[in-house]
Amino acid sequence: MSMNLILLIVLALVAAWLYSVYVGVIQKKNKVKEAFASIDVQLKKRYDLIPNILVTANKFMEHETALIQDITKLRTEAINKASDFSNMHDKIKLESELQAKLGQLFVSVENYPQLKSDQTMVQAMQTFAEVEEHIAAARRFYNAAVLDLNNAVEIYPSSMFASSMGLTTLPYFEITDEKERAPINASEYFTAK
Amino acid sequence: MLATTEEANEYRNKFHKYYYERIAPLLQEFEIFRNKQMLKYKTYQSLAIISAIIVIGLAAFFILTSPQIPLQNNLYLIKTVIFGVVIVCLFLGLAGNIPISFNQKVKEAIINTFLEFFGNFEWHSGEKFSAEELNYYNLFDYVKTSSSGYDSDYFEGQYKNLKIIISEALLINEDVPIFDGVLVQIELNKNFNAHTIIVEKCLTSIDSGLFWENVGKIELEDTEFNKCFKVFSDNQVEARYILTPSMMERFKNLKETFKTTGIRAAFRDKSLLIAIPSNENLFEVCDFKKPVTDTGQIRELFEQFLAILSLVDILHLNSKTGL
Repeated sequence: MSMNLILLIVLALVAAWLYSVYVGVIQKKNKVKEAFASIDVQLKKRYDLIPNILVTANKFMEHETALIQDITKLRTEAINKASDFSNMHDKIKLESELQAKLGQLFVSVENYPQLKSDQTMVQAMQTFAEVEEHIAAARRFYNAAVLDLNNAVEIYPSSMFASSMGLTTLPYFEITDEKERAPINASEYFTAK
Repeated sequence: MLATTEEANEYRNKFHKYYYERIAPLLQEFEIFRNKQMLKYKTYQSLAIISAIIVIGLAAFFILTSPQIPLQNNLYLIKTVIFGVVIVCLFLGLAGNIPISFNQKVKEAIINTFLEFFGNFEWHSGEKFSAEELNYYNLFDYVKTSSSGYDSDYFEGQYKNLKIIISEALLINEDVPIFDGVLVQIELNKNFNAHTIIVEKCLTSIDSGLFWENVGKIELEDTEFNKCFKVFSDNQVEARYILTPSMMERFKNLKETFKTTGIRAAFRDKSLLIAIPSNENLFEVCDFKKPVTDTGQIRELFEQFLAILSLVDILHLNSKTGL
């Protein structure tokens, strides 16, 4: 009798433990969804800000028409791209390209003193900097959540539940352009041409 | 900027010159007064000791001359002891009050001159933060009263265009002190949508365990930071917006600077509240038992102020890229 009771208790404990592992995987998956959604919220703020910047820039930056058109095109593509895990890689690539183009635009602003001192542009750039900081924070949250989920997907016993739920490892939100990773050679910038 | 040793030393040298030009002349006037007060203090102390000796002598006399009377029925003995205790307490009370009122007089005379060195700071006596205000930051377990019966000071002013309030505080909950030290409130140039709390890890076991858990624990990427601090927030993104890798580095430096344990900070709305524990009585300008012209106490006051203002520099709170 007592042997049966002990066996029952052990089985109950094992079942409870397995259930907690299963719940853990679900929680990690939901956290990634929450983090992904928070990036979307921040990205939307960026998309809303871009037209204000481009309208002001267009008035002064006659030689940057191509860059402005590229940014407009990328923004439209980014807005139209649905936010879900199936096209995560494409979305990350698109956002990296858009960020790079906007970076180029702000560097070019330096060549237009009138634009640089325009109050609307100054305010837009400050707001943009704030938005970018929030996007960076949202990315960090997303990457932390993905790390937890990836660990759960790859490490036994949670990997058992993950594979039965069809979960796979997810990509991090990171720099995809190898040029941006390369160390900067300052002499390239200061050499007179 | 006070973030580096060289900058701090330069600041100290400037203060050294300022002290001899502006503060020392004011203090010299108080030395004669201090000597008179010291004579009074020693007189009262001596009277207390003499009274105690007389009372003990009389008590012994009444006990020895009437051994047949039980002590509790010996009226002369009882009256002598009661009278004696009252007299001794009176003299001790009078003596004890002299250093306190002297220190207060000197502080009132020179503190504003001292504060002029740092810019536009003002000194006030009393407590600045109410219990409601402190409970709003949620940095402590429920605060019932703040600084009750406590000889405290606070300073208000601006440093690097940031409004700062520095206040001594003794916080009490259910007659138990829960914090003794300095509270520094800094009004920042940004508004925060979330409530984020950073506490040293040693605190999370001492204070009621679930108190901060309700806000939501945040795990950050800096392992060294995570070893020293725990972070709680109601918004994961906002917490990471505040605690960038460089900000985490600065918090670690903060711990090194103050050499104390139990530092905690809360970001809410447009301000930051930092609580730094300290067992010492802070912001005193002189020591009654030492000559007023002794620079030790003023130097200590200066170092306390320097350490607190350096918070702004260490955390880069005034720079747009700091937060």
